[in-house]
Amino acid sequence: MKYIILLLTGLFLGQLSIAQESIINGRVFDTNGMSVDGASVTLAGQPERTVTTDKDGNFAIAANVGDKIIVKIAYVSKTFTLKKSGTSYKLKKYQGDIHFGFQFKTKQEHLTSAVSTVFAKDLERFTVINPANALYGQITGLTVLQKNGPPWNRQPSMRIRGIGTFNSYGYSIFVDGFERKISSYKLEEIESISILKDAASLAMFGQQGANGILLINTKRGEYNTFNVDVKYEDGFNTPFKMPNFLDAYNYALAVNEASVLDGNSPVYSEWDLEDYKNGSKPYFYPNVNWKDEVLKNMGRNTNFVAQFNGGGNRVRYYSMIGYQTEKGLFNYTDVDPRYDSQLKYRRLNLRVNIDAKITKTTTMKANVGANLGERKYPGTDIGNIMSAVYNIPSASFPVKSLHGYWGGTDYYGNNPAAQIGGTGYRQDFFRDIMADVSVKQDLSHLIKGVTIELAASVDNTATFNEGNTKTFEYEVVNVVRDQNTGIITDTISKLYGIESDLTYFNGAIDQWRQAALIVKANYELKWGNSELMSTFMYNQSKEVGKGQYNTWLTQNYFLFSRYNYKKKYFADLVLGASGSSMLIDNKWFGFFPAISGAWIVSEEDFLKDNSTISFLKFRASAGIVGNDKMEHNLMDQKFVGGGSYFYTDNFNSLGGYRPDRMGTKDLTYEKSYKYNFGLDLYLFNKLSVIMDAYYNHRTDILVNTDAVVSDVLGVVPAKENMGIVNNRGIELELMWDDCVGKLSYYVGGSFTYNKNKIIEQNEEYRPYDYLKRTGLPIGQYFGYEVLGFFRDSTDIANSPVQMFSPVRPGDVKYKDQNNDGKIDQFDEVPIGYSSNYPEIYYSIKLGFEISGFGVDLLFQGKAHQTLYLNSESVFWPLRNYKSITDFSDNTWTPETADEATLPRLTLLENPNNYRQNSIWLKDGDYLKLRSLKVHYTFPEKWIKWAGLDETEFFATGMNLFSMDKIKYVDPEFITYGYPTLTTWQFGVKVSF
Amino acid sequence: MIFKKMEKMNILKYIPFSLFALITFLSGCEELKIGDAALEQPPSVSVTLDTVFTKLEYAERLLFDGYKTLPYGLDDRLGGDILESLTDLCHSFLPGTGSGANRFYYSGSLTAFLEDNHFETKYGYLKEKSWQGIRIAWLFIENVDKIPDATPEYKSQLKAEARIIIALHYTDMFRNFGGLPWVNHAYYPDDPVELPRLTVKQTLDSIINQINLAVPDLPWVVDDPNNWDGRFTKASALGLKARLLLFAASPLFNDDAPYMEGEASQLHQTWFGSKDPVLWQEAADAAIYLINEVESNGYYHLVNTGKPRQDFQDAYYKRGNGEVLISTRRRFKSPNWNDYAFYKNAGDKGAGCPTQEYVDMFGMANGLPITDPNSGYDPDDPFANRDPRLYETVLVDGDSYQGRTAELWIGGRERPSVAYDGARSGYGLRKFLLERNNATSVGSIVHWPYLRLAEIYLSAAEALNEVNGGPTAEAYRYANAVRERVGLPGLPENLSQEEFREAVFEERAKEFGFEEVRWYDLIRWKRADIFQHILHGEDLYKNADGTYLRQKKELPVRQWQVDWTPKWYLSAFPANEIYKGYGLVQNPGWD
Repeated sequence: MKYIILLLTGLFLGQLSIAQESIINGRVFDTNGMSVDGASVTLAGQPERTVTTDKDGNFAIAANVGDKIIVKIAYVSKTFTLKKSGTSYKLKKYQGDIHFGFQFKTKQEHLTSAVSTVFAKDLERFTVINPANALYGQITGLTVLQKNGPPWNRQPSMRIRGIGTFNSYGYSIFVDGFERKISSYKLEEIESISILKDAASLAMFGQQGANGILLINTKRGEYNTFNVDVKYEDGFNTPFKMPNFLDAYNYALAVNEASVLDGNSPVYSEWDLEDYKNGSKPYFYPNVNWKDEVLKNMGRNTNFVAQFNGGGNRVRYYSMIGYQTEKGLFNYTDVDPRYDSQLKYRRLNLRVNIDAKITKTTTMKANVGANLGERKYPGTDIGNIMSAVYNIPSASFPVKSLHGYWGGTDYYGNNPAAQIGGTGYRQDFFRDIMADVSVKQDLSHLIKGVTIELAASVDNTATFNEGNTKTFEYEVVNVVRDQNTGIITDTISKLYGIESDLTYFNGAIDQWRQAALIVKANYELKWGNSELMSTFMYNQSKEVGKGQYNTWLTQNYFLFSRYNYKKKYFADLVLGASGSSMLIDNKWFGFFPAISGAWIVSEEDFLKDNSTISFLKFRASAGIVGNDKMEHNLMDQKFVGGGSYFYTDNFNSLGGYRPDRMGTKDLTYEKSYKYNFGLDLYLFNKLSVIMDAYYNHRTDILVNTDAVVSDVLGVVPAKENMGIVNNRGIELELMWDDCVGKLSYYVGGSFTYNKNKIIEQNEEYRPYDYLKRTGLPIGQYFGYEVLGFFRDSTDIANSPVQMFSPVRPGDVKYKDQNNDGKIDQFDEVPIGYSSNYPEIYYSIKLGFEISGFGVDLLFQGKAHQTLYLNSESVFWPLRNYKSITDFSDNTWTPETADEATLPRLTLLENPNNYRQNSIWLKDGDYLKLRSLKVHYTFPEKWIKWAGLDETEFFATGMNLFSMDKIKYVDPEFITYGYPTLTTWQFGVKVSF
Repeated sequence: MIFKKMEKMNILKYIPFSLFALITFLSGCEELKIGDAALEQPPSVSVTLDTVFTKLEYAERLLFDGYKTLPYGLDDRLGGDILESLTDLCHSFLPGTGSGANRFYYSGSLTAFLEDNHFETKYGYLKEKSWQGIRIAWLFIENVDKIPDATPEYKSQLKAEARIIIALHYTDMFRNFGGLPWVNHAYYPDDPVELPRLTVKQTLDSIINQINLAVPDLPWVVDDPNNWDGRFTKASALGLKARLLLFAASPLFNDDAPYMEGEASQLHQTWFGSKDPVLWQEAADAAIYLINEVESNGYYHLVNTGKPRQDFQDAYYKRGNGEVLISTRRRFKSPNWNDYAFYKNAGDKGAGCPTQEYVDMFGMANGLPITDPNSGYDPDDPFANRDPRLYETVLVDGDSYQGRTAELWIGGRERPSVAYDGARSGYGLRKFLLERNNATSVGSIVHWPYLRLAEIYLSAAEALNEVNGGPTAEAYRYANAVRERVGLPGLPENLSQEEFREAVFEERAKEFGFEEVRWYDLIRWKRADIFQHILHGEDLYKNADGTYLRQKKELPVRQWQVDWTPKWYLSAFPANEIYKGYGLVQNPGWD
C-alpha cells in the first residue's frame, strides 16, 4: 500500500518538477542483511525531495541515475550514488527492529529497556548442530560456556546476567512468540536471537521472567522477491585437547614410586618392569594407549541447506530444508559383522513461514517447522566408555586376550574397545513439530487506532529408541612367577561375563507437548507531539512432558503502555497479573509492574548537529519479575512408594508407602526487583557504544530448613521461601565499523562483569565467621591453604596435626587458620571464585573484507571462575590403581622436594592431599578463538552467465585454540567424557 | 459510503473466519482450557496421609516401610563398609571415599562436625533411618484406628509391631549414644522446640515400656511363616528386651564411674550414676524368661541337625529357621551377584578382611585352643581340624570353595596379588558371601539376622555369671548349648568368674562374627585393651614345589591403637544438631 502511494507520489513529483527524471526504486538493508524500515532517502542538496523506506526497505524516488542520495536512519547515515532500479544499498550495522516478546517490537533508538540481539550474519560464523553453540560471546549479557558430549548433547550452559538464585537459574526460550527449545532449530533458519535483561522487558513474562528470556525469531519472506540460497559444507572434527597418559613402563615405575612413598614395597618386580619395557609379552604385560586405541583422529561433519525466500504482493514465504550429519570418533565399531556401533547423528530440518494479507485490514501468519532425525551409539553408555578410556592404565590388560577373548580385569569388564564393539548399538529417533498461526485485524474502521491480534501454537516432540544390545565375555590372565628366579611358572586364566545374543528393545523415551494462546487488543493514539500505544494482552500456555508432575500451565493478563513526546522522551509501563500452576491452588497469581524511560539527548538542540556525537540516549528501568521454576507439588506432602520389603522367599516383595518431605505452607514464587541504567552512544559515525549497569534483588528463594529443624522430625522438613540473593553487574559493548577505500573492517567486542551475594539462605551453624557461606557469591569455593609439602618426619612432628589421613613426607601441609594446633574442617577458607559462573565474560570480534575476500574472527574469554581439578587419573593419578598423565610430571620425591609443585604419588585414597585445596583449585580463565571464517565471493561478472547472483567459498574453523592456565586439558572440560571438539568446515554457498 | 460498508462486511466476514480457523487448530491438536480452569494441574496419583488409612492394604504398606527402616548390616554401614571393620575381627582396606572406617576411624580424624554431613560414620543420627522409622511408627499408631477393614485384634497387633519398630530403633540409638531425646508422637516443626536428652535410666525405661505395651498383642509365631516370616512376634520383643537389658547392665553404663567425664556424664546421660547389681538380675531374668518360653511354647530352637558346618550356616543365613528372632530384609541379592554393594565391597574391595587374631581365636574341633600343647595344632597346616565356625566365617587357604580348593596364596585365584584388596590380610570373608558365585548365591533373599536365639543363651550365661559372682550350672548349660550345636565339647569346668566371662565373650565373637555383636561387646565391657592391640595378617607364598612360605605381617595402624581415648565408646551427636538447641548435650570427648 505504502509502496504504491510512494510510487504515485514519486510519479507526481517527477512529472511536476523535472520532466526527464524517472522514478528509480531501490532497497536499503544493513550489514546484518536486514531490510531497513523507515529510513529517509534524500536527494543530495534537496531536503524537500525525501522519501521513506517501507517495511521491506523499499523506496522509490524521482531522480536520475548518478545522482547522490543520502540514506539515513536514526544515527546511521551514508551517501550513495543512485544506480538503476532494483539496486540495493547497504547501510552500516543498524539493528532495525528489536523484539521484546509477544511479537512486540520497536526501533532500537526508541527502546527503553535492556535487550541485546545477534543477527543471522553473525550467527553464521559457526556451523553447529545446536544453535546455542553459535552464541559464544555474541550477545552482551549472555554467558555461554561450552559442554562436551556427543553431537546431540552439547547444549552449552547459558546464563543471562549471571545467577540470581540458588535454585534453578534456567530461563525460558521463546521462538516466534512461543516457548520452545533452541535445540529443535537449525542455525540457518534463525533471523535473530535476543536476550531480555531488565524488568521493563521481562515483566510481561511474569513468573517466567526473573532469570531472563531468550527470544528467537525465524526468517521471514519478502514481498516481490524470489531468492534461493543453497549451501553445502563438508568438514571434520578432532578432539580439542585430551590429556596424555603414561605408557605401561612409566605407569609401572610411577606405581612403584607411589608404593614406596606410601611406605610399602614396590608393586612391580624388576622382572615385571623389564617385561613392560621391552613389550615382549603383550598378553601378560601389555602396553595399550587406550586413547589412541579407541578414538580416531577425526570424525566427519556435513551440512546442506537450501533456503527459499520470496513472495508476491499479498503473500510472502520463507522456506528451508536442511540436512546435517556428524560421525563420531570411535574405533572398534565394526568388529561384529551384524552391526556398526559408530556414533552417528543426522537430522532433517524443514520450515515454511508464510505471511499473507488476507484483506486490506487482515494479515495472517502461519509458521511450521520440523526437526527430524536419528542418533546412533554403542550399546554401552558413552560416559562409561570414556571413563574407561581415561581410567584404565596402559598396563592393565590387552584389548584382546591370549585366547582371543576381550581383555579385562578381575572386577570389571570395562574394556572400552569391547564396550564399543561388543555391546551392540542403540538408536534414538526424534521428531519435533512446531506450528503456530496468528491473525491480526485492523479495526480502525470501527474505532480509530484499534487492532486485535490472535495467535496460537501447538508443538509436539517425541523421541523413540530401539537397539540391539548384548554382553561380552572377557578373559583375565594372571601370571605366576617364581619368587626366586622370576621365571613364569604358570598362567591362570579366568573367564567372566557371557557372550550373549543380541537383545532387541524399543520404546518411547520422551515426549513433550506445548500449546499456547495469545490475545491482544492494541490501541494507538496520537495528539500534538505525543504518541501513546496501549495493549491489553491475555496469554496462556500449557506444557506437558512425559510422566506425572510434568505439566506447566501459565496464564498472564497484562497492560502495556508506551508513550513518547516528540520522539525524544519515552516512557513505558507494564502492569500485569501472572499465574502459574506451580503454586498453591487459587493462589496462583502475582503482580508484576515495571516502568522504564528513555531520553534521547542527541535530539535536544544543543546536541542536534554535533559532528562527534551522532546519537546519545539514556535509559532507566525498574520493576518486579518472578520465577516459578521449582519442583512440582512442593505444597503437598506426598506418600511415595517406599521400595520393597522381603518377607517371603520370592521376589514378590511388598511395596511400602513412605512419607516424603513435608509440604511448604505458603508456597510462593521468587521475586526479583530489577533496576537497570543504560546509555547508547554513537560516535564519529563509526563507533557504537552500549553500556548498562544493573542491580537485582531476589527474595523468596526456596531454601531447605533441615539446617534449623531437628533431625528427630524423621522426615525431610519443608522448603520455605526465605532466601535472598543480590546480583549486580555492568556491561559494555563496543563496535568500530569503517571503510577505507575498498577495504571495510570492524573491531568490537563486549565485556561483562557480574557478581552475586547471598544475603540469606538459612545456613547451618558455623563456629567461625570465615566459614560462613552467606555473604559470599553462590558456589564460592572453600578449601585449604597449602603451605607446601612435608619434608620429613621431623617436619610432620613439628606441624599441626592434619586430621584427614596419616601424613608422610611429600604430603600436603596446610595452614592452621584458627591456630588450634590441628587442621580440620574449620581451617577451610574461601579460595578463588565461584564454581557456578564466571564474573567476567568478554569477547572480541574483528574482521575485514576487500574485493570479495574476507576474514572474520571471534575470540571469547572468561575470568574469575574457579575450577576444581579433581578428575581421577587426569589430575589425581594412580589412586586405586587408576591411570596417570603427564600432568603429574612434577610430583614430590625426596630428590625433587624443592621444586615439586604437586604432592607425592600415592596408591591410597589419601584424603589429606586430595581435597579442595589451593593446589587443585585453579583459575579457569581462558581466551579462546571460537570462530575463524575465511570467505571469498566471486565477482558478479564471472558468474552472471550461469544465472547466479552470488557464489561464495568459505572455510570455518571453530574452537581452534585456548590460552589458559590449565594447559593439559580444555579448561571447559576437565573431567572425562566424549571430548570437546575442534571443527573445520569447507563449503560453498550459491544464491540464485 | 458504499465503499465503507463493504470494508465492514469484509471485517465481519473475516473475523469469524480467522477465529474459526484458530479454534479449530487448537482444539484439533490440544485441549486448552480457558479461564480459571487454565491453571489447574491434571489429577496426580499422589497419596496423602488420609488415603493411606482408607484401606488396610495401604496402611500395612506404611507399616512395612517402617520395617524397611530397620537396621540391615549388609548394606551401607560406614558408607559402604561393615561395622566389624571397627573391631579386632577384621580390617577394612576399602578406600576412604567409600568407607568411613579408613577415613574417619582408623585415621582418628572423626569429629562431631563430621557427623553432620557424612554418611560414612558408624551410626548416623539421621542416616540410619531411625527417626524416619520412629515417625512412621507413630504416624501408624496415631491413625491405625481409622482403618475401616481390619479387626480390632489385628489393629492391636499392627500397633504392637509399630511399637517394636520404635523400641528397636531406640535400642540401637541407646547402644550408640546413651540417653536420648524421647519422641512420643509424630513430631512436627511447629511442636515445642524443647526435646531434652533423657538420662540413661529414663531412656531405658521408656524403651522397656514400649516393649511391655507391645508384648501382649503380638503372636508367638507369625500366622503364615512362608509369607510373613520377618514380622515381629512376642519372641522378637522379648529377645530385644533381653539384648537391651544386658547392654544396660554392662559396665559401660553400670559402673562406679562414667566411662569419661563430661557434662553429659554429670547429667547421667552416659551412665546410670552408680553401679546397680539389680540390672544384671533384670538382664538375666529377661533372657531366662524368653528361654523358658521358647522351651515350653516351641517353634524357636537352635538349628541343630548334627551337621555342624551346615547348621551354623543355616542358623544365620537361612530364613524362617526358628533361630532368628529378629530378621530384617531391606535388601536382596540381585541377579548379578556383584551388583550388590556388600558383595563387591566385602568380597573384592577389601571391606571385610579377617585378622590373624580372629582366626587364632577359633580353637580346634576338639575344643582346645590352638595355644594348648595338646590341641594338635600344626603351625605348618594351621587350618586343619578347627572349630567348624572358622570355615564358615573366614575363607582360609585349602578349604573347599567353588567346587575346588580356595587359593589364598599370593598369585592364587583368591589373592591374585599382594595388593588385591579382597584378601589383603591373607584371609577372605566367607560369612554371608558363601561361595561368592552365581550358582550358590543368586536368587536368594538375604536377610540380616539382627538377633538370634543363640545370643539369648549366651547373654543368659553371661548375666548369671555376673549375678552369682561366678558360673552356675545353669550358666554352663546355656553357654554349652551354643557350643554343642557346632559339635564342640562344653567349656572347661570350674572356671572362675573372670575366666567364664572371658570365655563367653570370645564365644560370642566366634558365634556372631560379622553379625554386629562384637562392637557392642567391646564397648559395653569397655575393652580399651583390645582396641589398642596391633592387628596382624598373613602373606602366604606358594613355592614351585608346593610348599608354603608364611609371613606374618602387621596390618595398618589405627590411630586409637596408639592414642586411645574412651570417647570412642559412644558416638558423637552431629554438631549442628546440638546447635539447633532443643536440648541435646554432646557425649564426652567430642567437640
